[in-house]
Amino acid sequence: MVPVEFYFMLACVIFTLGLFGALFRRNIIMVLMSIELMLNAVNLVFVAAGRSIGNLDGQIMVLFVITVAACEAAVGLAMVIALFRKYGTVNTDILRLLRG
Amino acid sequence: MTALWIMLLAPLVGAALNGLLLRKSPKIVSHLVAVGAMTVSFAAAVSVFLNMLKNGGEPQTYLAFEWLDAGGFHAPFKYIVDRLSGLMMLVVTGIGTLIHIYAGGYMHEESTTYRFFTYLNLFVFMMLQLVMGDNLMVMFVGWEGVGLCSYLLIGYWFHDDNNAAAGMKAFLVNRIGDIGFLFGIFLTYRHFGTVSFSELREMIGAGALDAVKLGAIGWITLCLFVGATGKSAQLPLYVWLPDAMAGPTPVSALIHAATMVTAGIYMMTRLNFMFYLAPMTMQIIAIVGAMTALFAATIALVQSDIKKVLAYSTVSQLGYMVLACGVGAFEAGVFHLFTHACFKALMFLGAGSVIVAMHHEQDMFKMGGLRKYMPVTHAVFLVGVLAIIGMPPFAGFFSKDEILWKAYIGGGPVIWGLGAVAAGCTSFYMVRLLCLTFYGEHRGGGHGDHHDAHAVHAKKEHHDHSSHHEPHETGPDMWGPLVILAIMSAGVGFLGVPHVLGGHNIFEEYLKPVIMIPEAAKEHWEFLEASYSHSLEIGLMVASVVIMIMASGTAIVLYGRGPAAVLGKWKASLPRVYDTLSNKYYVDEFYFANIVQPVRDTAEFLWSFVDVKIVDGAVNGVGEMCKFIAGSVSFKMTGSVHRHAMVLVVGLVCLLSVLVIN
Amino acid sequence: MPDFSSLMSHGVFHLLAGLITLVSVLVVVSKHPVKSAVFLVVDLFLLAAVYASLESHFVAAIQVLVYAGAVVVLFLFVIMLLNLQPDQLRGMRFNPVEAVTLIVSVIGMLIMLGVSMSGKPTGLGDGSMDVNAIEAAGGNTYMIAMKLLTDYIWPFELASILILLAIVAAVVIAKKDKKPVVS
Repeated sequence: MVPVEFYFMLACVIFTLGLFGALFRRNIIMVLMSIELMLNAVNLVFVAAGRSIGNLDGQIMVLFVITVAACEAAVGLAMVIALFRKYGTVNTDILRLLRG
Repeated sequence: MTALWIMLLAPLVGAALNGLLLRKSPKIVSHLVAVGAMTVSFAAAVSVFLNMLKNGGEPQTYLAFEWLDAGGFHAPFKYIVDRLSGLMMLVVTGIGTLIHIYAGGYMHEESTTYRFFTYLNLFVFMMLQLVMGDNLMVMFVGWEGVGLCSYLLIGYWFHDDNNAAAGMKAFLVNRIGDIGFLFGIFLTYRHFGTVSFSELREMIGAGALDAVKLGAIGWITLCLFVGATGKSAQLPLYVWLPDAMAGPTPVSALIHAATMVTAGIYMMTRLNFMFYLAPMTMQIIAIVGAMTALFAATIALVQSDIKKVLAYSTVSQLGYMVLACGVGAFEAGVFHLFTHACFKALMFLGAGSVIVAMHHEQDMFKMGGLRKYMPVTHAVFLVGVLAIIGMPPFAGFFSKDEILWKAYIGGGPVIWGLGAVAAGCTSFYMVRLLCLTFYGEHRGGGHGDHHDAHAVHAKKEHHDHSSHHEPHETGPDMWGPLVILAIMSAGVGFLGVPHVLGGHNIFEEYLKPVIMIPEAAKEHWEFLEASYSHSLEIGLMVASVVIMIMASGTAIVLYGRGPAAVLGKWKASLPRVYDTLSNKYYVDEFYFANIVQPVRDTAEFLWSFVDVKIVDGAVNGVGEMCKFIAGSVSFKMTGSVHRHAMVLVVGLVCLLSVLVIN
Repeated sequence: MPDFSSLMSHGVFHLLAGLITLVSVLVVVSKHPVKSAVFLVVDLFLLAAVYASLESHFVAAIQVLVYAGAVVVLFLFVIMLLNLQPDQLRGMRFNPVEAVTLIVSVIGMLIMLGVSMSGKPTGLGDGSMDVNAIEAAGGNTYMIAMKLLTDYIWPFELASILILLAIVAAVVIAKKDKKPVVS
């Protein structure tokens, strides 16, 4: 049996990578994709923890997370499209509307 | 006892209907609703009264609902129907109904009659609480309620600052009296554990009271009397009543002649058993009453506004009632309350008719000769004047003389003398009023000036104006109630014909069971029961009639054909006397300088220093600080989402580390 | 004799882990969005494999169907729609200060996590995750379905409402503004 900590550590790594992407990529779409990566890391934690506790709750949680992630991706991408239409770019260096 | 609840609630329902629903309705609807409510209430009152008489006039209490019940303090909303409250409720609802009918005609030029009748009905409701309550708390509810309605009605035409100020003055001065009243309530509860009239009567009538309680009673009665001073316009808290004439005349009639101002006298009569145990307080009461009677009467001698004369006359007559209470003659005081309600309301309403006919002119020196224009009003007004000056056999004669007699035997010739002089003044100024208003030549001089100013108008308009200027009689909806009141003023006196004149003094007998002189005080008040020589009593009566005739005669001579020339000479020769009197002894100015102005100055200081600098400074300071901090930090908001997220992550890490370390 | 099954599972796991890490790095680093998207798909497949090895067959299937099959496809649609020219593509932005802060803080967090977890007993009970028990009950999918539709019925329904909301929101946000008709 693989000790459950290994799964956790893997999840941490994926999470960190996703975090890096979300914070440092200049393309909004890439930011969104990195967020998906982070969500996957979380899913991994849930499944592994559920397995180690001996419950099915972890997997059910994962189902919901996937659902929510899908919704969020849809809405987020819709917003990207709207932004692109208005400003013609998806570069976050330029899209600094919250300035001030 | 459904009739009781109907009587109590009908005015409230009327007020609610008028206040909430009838805003846009035609004036006649408001009027009818209000009058209807009053009529229902009066009919119910009669029913309750007759019922009470059938039960031999025994007091009966009725519980509406449990109200206050905290710790040992128990004050349910209970009403007592006994001889005294039965009488009062008839006065309030009966005269109230007549005034409501009259008011419809008087206020027909108003646009917001619904508001007027709401307040008027509400007032009656509150007054009923006052007189029907079985404990001090319910009475206090009514006490405050009538004060509120008085304020609302005095300041009815509040767009004029003077009226609004008058309303405020009434309310504030009353408030000062109310402090005394409240202290009285507190002390009563503290020493007797109850505020219920029935219970207090039992406790005090039953047994021996220790010295502590007796001492307490002295203070309680004094505090309660302070409340009465405010409400019933005695020295030194009478100053609101003349100013209250700024309100519509029906208001003056109802509130400031017939009902509200009598609340103090009612309260003292209700607690007569307590007051009997406090001879010191009673002495003060008698002196205050007598002095007020004389003081106000002298001011009335030189007033030119018809309503002001009546106002000071009211203060003076209230002084009589208070004097009666002070010498222990509560029945006489209530009798005078009753007769005064009739003829004073009559005269106020009559004055209202005159004012309306003169297009809201209130200066008597601009009136005159109205007898031929307004015969009915003149006739009823004459009856009222005869009643108040004490011309036998009108009502005022019997009630006033009863008081003067009791004052003589209880307080001695000095007090009697004060009262007699005041009576003389009363005769003088009332006859003066009658002459200036109704006799002589019509001095509508103000209208004459008006005339000249319009001289440039076309001839046709000129003519129309002149026909308008002549005063004419009011409609039957206005003189109808006056006639009824006049009949009452004439006849009601016969309820109290004293024994010495062969009558049975039904009134005094009727109220006797309400009065109770406790054992401990019996000896002090023996003089009330003792018998005196009839010749003394008759002698005093004759003396007062003589004074009345002399004073009235003087007034007729001086004013019968309009103000006599000799008056001008007197005014010139005694300028200071005249000025003092016509400026009401400068009492208002005194109060203003010594009480009102210092309060205002303190308030101004508190505002400019404490409020503006300290409080505002602190509050604004917080705002400034926030702005400052925000300003210094805002450069950090670069608008970059990434930067935000970064900060978020770092913060999260810190949080987690804190969690983990613990 | 070394325990081959456990060795196998260990080996599989380490292999998968390594691949996943590598691919994730590629996802984050690639300049072209399409490349990143493809790498992401690979990533998701690998993760599904990990789930399967953890006896969570249903989740694995859903992961492939929904996540890889719908979400990433959506991403690709949008990327294609935007039709970014090569000059518009940017890589990472690097502010040295930020980067160092981030690395340090994340590493610190990981260390602390590791430290806090080291005292816990390993291999928390398998209990109801016994393979045979699951087979007997009707399979992983069956059991999930049972749980989902009884204990978790509320979240289930609410999730469907959420999806509905997301659909409406996405359509509304992405709609073209009506251009005023010039006559």
